Amino acid sequence: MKFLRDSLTKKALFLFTLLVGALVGGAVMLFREQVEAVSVNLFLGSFVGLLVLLFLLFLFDVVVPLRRVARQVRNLLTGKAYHRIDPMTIDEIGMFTHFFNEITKDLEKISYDVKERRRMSSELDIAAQIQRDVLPKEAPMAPGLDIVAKTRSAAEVGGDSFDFLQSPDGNQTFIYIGDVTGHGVPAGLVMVMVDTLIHAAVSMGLASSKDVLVHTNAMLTPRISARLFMTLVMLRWDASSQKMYYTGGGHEHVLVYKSKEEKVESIRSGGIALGMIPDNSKIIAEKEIPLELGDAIVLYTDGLTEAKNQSGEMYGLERMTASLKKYGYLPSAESIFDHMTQDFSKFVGEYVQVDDTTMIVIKYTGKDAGGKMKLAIAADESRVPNAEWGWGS
Amino acid sequence: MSTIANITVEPAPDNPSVQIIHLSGEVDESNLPDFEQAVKPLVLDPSRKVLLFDFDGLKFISSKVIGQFAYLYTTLAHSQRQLVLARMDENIKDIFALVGLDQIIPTYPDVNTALQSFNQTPAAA
Repeated sequence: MKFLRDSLTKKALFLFTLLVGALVGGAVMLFREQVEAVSVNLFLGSFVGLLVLLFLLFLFDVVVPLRRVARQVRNLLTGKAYHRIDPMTIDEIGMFTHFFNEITKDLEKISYDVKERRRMSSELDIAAQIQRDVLPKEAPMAPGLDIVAKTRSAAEVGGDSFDFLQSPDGNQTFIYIGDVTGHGVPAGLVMVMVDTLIHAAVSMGLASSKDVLVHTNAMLTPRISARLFMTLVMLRWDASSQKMYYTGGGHEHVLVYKSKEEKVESIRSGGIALGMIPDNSKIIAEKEIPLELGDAIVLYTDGLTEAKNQSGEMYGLERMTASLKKYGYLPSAESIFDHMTQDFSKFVGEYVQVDDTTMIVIKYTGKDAGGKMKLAIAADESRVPNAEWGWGS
Repeated sequence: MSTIANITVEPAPDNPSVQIIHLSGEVDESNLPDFEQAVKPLVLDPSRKVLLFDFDGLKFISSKVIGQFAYLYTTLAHSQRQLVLARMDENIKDIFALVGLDQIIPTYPDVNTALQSFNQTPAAA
């Protein structure tokens, strides 16, 4: 019987066969009984009876199951409450009933996922805002220095950071740039921790960038996963002596444009990244960067040098160095920054950024020139193709 | 598409407490779990006093994998065990040097020279 029940067409054919069989059988019987005429009542009664039987079969086997499905589909489409339907048949209508049940089960899961994603996106927005609030909006004056700094995250929450801090006596300006392993929320959390610890160390009056990083590292390392670390390089500008120092924490090179020779020195920052070992005091050291009027310093994260173009070529340290050599003579940090980022944007084209990128340009303008600092954080511009970056515009 | 790395482990010829892990190909976030799975039993086994990574054939590692080596160094050092690296090509050596890991993890030009070093106690972190 399953052979008949699993298809409306088969059921219809079966009924038709039954009907024809009943008519033929009836005719044969009448012929055998030599009945030449059948009364109208008998004929009508038989006919109506047959029709009623067919109607009842159609009603319970087709109409009722179909209406049950249609009602729940209407509820779904009009936003009303719907529920699972127990299939009454195993034919096409039964199949549509199963289909409805499966679809609505998936829809419920999708709806939950969408709500969950909205909630997470909202929390990510909050985390991103917290991170942007941590990054400097304005910086203390550093007489003699002209500074521009910009950062752009690859995700809602990034792992790159920079900051400018002044010592309590106002004579030292600390400038750092850092990059946490990976990006996203874990990197963002470590970035915020490090920035907070550095602020605390500077406010304690620690005299050198090395001391600041030793203290920061000692506080940070026991508090983060051993797999996470932050590369960092910190500059210290002594306003009274107009001298620049640096301490490396396993970060990228420090590029120094020498205006007299019109060449670029690429200094390995050295040291060891923060978070790798609890005591880095024997591995990091503060060193001087001799500076003359017109010299410039560029700090950057590897999102720049490791950015690729459509051909898979990396921008690289050589191109960055060449770009600084070309534009380092320009009188302001902003002009150097804009030209270098134009070079960068031209190279990478529309290749989508996969890592955070940060760059700081510092121009030594001299003691009497006054200091101004321009900062910009690319807020919520993740997933913007490189060609649309406003870095150079 | 997942990056491919080849990871094979064998004890040192004359000292089973030294495990040589041959690593080749590329290791990044996509196959880092495979790398962790291969290394985890060695890290958990206190009888493996030295883990010696042979990087011959390794072309690339990502920064997250660098973090994994920092973790391995710290974890082994806590139980007086050693992490040693050998046969790194210039690119890999540069990556380790940039973040400063070469300052704490001994590196050697070849496996034999590395094998001779494991009798020293690890530098305190």
